[in-house]
Amino acid sequence: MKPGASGRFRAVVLAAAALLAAAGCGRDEARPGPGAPDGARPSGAVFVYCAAGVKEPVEEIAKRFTAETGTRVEITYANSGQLLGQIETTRTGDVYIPGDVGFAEKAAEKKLLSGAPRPFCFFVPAIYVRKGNPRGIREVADLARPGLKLVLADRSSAVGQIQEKLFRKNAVDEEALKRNLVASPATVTDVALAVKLGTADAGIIWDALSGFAPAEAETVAIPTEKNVIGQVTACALAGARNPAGAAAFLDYLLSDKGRAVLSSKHFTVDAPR
Amino acid sequence: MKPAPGGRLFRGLTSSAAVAFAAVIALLLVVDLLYILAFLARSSAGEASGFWRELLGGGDWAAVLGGQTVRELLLSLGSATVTTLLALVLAVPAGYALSRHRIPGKVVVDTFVDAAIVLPPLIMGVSLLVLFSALRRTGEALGTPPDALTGEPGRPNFLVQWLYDFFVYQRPGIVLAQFLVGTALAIRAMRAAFDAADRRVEDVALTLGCSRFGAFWRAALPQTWSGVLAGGVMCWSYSVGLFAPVQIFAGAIEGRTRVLPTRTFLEITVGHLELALALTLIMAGIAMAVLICLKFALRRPAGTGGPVS
Repeated sequence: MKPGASGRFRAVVLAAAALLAAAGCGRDEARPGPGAPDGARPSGAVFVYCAAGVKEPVEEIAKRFTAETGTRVEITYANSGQLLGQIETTRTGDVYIPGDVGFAEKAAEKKLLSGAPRPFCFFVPAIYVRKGNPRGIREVADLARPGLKLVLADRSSAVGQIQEKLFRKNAVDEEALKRNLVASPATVTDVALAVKLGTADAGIIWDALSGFAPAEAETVAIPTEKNVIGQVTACALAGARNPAGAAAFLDYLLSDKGRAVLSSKHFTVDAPR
Repeated sequence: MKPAPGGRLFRGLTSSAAVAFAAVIALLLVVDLLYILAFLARSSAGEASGFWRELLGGGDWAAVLGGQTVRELLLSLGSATVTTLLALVLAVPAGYALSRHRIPGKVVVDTFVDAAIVLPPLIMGVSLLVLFSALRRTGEALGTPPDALTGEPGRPNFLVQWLYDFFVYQRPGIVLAQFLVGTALAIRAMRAAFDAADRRVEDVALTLGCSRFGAFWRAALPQTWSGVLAGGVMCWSYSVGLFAPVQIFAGAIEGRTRVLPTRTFLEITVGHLELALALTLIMAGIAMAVLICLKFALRRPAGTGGPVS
């Protein structure tokens, strides 16, 4: 080794130590206080598995819940299927909020839930069109009209799954839809973006996104009897280490306070009639 | 010295391979930046300020430094640094053994090291979770069973429970998830470095009275300095950007286990593509700065190939 190299090595080790110390400081900040128990351990904190699609309202509601009750909420986000896998393997955690009721049913079949899933909010499909609806789209069947530039989310997304049922329910010619298709992005937000930017004339989104681009686009509601409504439920988990905390958080989530947050973020809280 | 015929052509061809590749990566980062700028140009003032608030966490420096992004960035860089130090501690002797010793079934051992790199990252996380759930069940079996008479719930084995609680959905879980592949990469680099090192130097040291450990420490290891650097850089870079196994094994809990790459993933799932790209650019920029500093601090004299002696 060159004589200078060991000195430089020492400098690098020092730098690494400084970085660790910095990361360690962040750790102290993040913890509410010395000796506070950690999430998965039996403690006052509530551990929540939350679908990424409802991240914004759940994050906000959890913040308010903590401010009011002093109970910490620890939320891990992913897609509903992955969360179900995590619950199944670890049997830890107190609350599960999947993006679609189907996942709650699967969890119930696997006996992972304690009590029935409770309705949290609804995902209502709507047609998203350019501002002023220049193509005169009134109903789902209009999307098959020749010459329309259509954007539909990919099947792998929740909206992609539900819109297939929607087209079947409305007996829309799927071949004609395919001919109109200009893009099939992976997420519902990209569908809204395509309409906003004018890359497409119309697409299917959730009503929660209706305020996405008020200056460039607007929604055309689908009548409930012709629509297929998605439901988001919140469930208490059978393996909960903090069942009391889970119940309190669920109650808060579904209370008027939780509903107010949902509404403020354009989520539908009452079953559409 | 007169340049050899074709020297300039040779130099040009080899250099352009390196430059062209680096340019493609640079191009990727530049188009990301352009995407963000285009977003800012077309968005309203409200949207733009929301973007900056989400990205940096506040209006003044105190809010920025205490904000979510900086905390997540520090967690990514810090966990990757811990991982790299631990990985090198294991990779140096492991690389040496794979290079020098005759171990029965060495090919098998070597291939399992590769397997760590082959496994899809997400599966690495799932496997860890499955392993720890099996561990937890073992702990329950080893512990006190529930009392049927008093109705007192059973208590799992203390040690196993501690191990489970230490890693699953906790910060050490981030390091463990990064460590498995990071170490495999470091072992690869160390093995190559020991393969390239001159064994005779070590033999001479031995004949001059060094102990076995002394010869390793003073004759073999200094020759592989570039291997330590390469392995460390590979492990660190990989760990900084890793999220799939981290997200599944350590969770994505804000303020505890959400590293910056996990955050970018979550931002994409809720449709904030520009925010995800901006976060990535910040992380890539800082990681590149760290790597450049590291390379300067530990650089070899220019133009010398091979191991430093």
